[in-house]
Amino acid sequence: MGENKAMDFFTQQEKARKKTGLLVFFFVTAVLLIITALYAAIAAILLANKPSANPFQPELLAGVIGITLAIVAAGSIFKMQQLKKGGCAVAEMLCARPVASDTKDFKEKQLLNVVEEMSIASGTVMPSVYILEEQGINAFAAGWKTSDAAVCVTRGCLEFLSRDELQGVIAHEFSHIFNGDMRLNIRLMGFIFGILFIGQIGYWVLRGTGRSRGVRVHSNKGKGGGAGAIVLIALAFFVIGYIGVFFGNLIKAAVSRSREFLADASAVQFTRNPPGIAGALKKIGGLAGGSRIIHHNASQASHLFFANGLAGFWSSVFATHPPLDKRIKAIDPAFNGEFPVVKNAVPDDKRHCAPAASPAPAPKPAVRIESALLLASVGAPTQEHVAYSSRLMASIPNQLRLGVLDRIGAQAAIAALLLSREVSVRALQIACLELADARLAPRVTVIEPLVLGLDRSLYATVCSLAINSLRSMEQKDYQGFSAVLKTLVEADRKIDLFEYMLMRMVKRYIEPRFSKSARPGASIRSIEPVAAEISMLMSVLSWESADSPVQAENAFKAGAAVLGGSALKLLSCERCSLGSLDQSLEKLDRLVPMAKRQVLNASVAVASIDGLININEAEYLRTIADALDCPIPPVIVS
Amino acid sequence: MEELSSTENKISFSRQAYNDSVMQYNTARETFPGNIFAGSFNFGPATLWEITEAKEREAVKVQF
Repeated sequence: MGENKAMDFFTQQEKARKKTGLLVFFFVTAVLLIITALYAAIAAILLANKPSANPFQPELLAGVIGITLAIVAAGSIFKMQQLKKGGCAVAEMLCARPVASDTKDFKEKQLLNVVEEMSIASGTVMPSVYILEEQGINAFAAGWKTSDAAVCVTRGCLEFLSRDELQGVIAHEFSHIFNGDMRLNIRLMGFIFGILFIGQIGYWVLRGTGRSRGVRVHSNKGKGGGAGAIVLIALAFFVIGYIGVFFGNLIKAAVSRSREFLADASAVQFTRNPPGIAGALKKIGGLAGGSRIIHHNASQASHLFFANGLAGFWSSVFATHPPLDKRIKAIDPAFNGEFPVVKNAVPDDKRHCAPAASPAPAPKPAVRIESALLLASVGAPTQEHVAYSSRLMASIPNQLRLGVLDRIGAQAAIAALLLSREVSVRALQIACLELADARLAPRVTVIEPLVLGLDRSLYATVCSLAINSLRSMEQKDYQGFSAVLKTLVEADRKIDLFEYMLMRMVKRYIEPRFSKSARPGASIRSIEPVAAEISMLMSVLSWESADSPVQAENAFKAGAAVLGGSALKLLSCERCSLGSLDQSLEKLDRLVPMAKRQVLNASVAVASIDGLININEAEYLRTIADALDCPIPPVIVS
Repeated sequence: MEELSSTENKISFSRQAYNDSVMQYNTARETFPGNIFAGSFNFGPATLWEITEAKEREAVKVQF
């Protein structure tokens, strides 16, 4: 995983925390504004009745402040008293049903298991678990402390989501428990209710006076002015109260919205499985009812949910959650905006399948790869990458796949990949093999025909399979094997890209087990001291992606523009060798993560000078990125 | 099957939670202001929980 990703996560956590403080401040401001508005309204009414009065009356102001705060406090305390029991109270307010720990229902048992797993992952105690009988996909966590928290999911969650996706949703809810959001949320519920209470009192008074006036309208002419003032003041309470609620809802939405990204990020931290939560969000987008909650109390708890629980005219302003596609993009940068279609009735055997991946694009002669997408996928393999890898796996013949499971077979497979197509070179290589290890040569001859039938794009997959089984190798075996590799690679007196990649992979994944010296830390802070190395890297790429010196010059300039350094200079074609590239990469690996990102950005700019990245350039980029410890998942070729 | 995968998840999540805490602790120990006091109050570095022996890493065979 790239260090820069981890850094982004922690800075985001910090940012969200600060933002919440700011929004609480806004909330207090809203209450102050309500007081001012009420005072202005009452003063205006009094002035209208008695034009000679002084517009500023400290007693009146004090009275308004006292009454408003008292009403807000009374409303809030009433609501909070109601919610004192914690998460269970909120769940029961929405008529949710607790899940028994000895439930016989498979889906409910799975839910309990997933909740328990997530409580372990986040280091909090197990909350009570509720189910809401609604068809939308949604969930919430509520409570004051971790000990009285409750997690509640809808029936739709259990019906439509796979286990991994359910885990993502639950992890998201745990983030709300863990980061103290639910405490803030349940307080917000109280505050909002307090403001709502002002409007409510205005409404009661209006109704009360309306009714009483209806009875006594004829006998009460003398006091008409006073009653009129009361009606007007009640009306002011009503209107201002509801305007307060309007802004309260806006604030509630904003507080909640800013926390959702954090919760999504934490969900990834807890599960280490971005496709899970991304898949759940995609399914909400694809399901006809989405995340709707129908219960009439849902509006009070709207900011507690996993995704928007309400729908309606104002839903975009009052949305308590960021738009789905933004949330998905934050987790899965390769998301193309298309939601999978989720059918309302999911057959049992399909339940554990991954969500339908977007339809594969039609085969194209040249591989078009968006350079931005390529860079975004660094250290972040998506569901599609996983699906693609398993497709790649499936297209490797069984015999070969089983053949590389033992160490000799794995070595033989790597050797077979390195065998030259030229007869004379091949004969030399075979002779070297027989000399080096008597057991190896016969296996190579068995495996070679299998390897020859493979598509070029599968070579890397076979290598990684083989390297996997070589990880448990003894040190002296490894030394022998790497000597063999070296002779095989150098048999034709030149090193091509694939050979270089293979050597690097072997070195990188097996060697660290034996060398006790730690990898040199990230000690180079800026790109200036390594300008020569970067020039080498970008020159290799420039010559690779260009057909003429002019094009190479242009490509190099595009990369240099990204870095903005003047010390960068295009090296001549002859000076660019894989050997010197290797040395440059070793040095560049010691850059700090942000500088690495810049270097990768520049490399992508160089490779994509003609608007697309071909498969050769993509392999170069992958090799470079891998050497810099920022792995790019396989480039998807349909 | 569900019970098996859940148990496996619980084990790996426990390890993950432990290792996350170790990482957080070590980071706090080595960054300002913790780095000034950590040494003098004997807060040594914590070690991650890792399986070192190759044999223990092998997948378990399950038969019903």
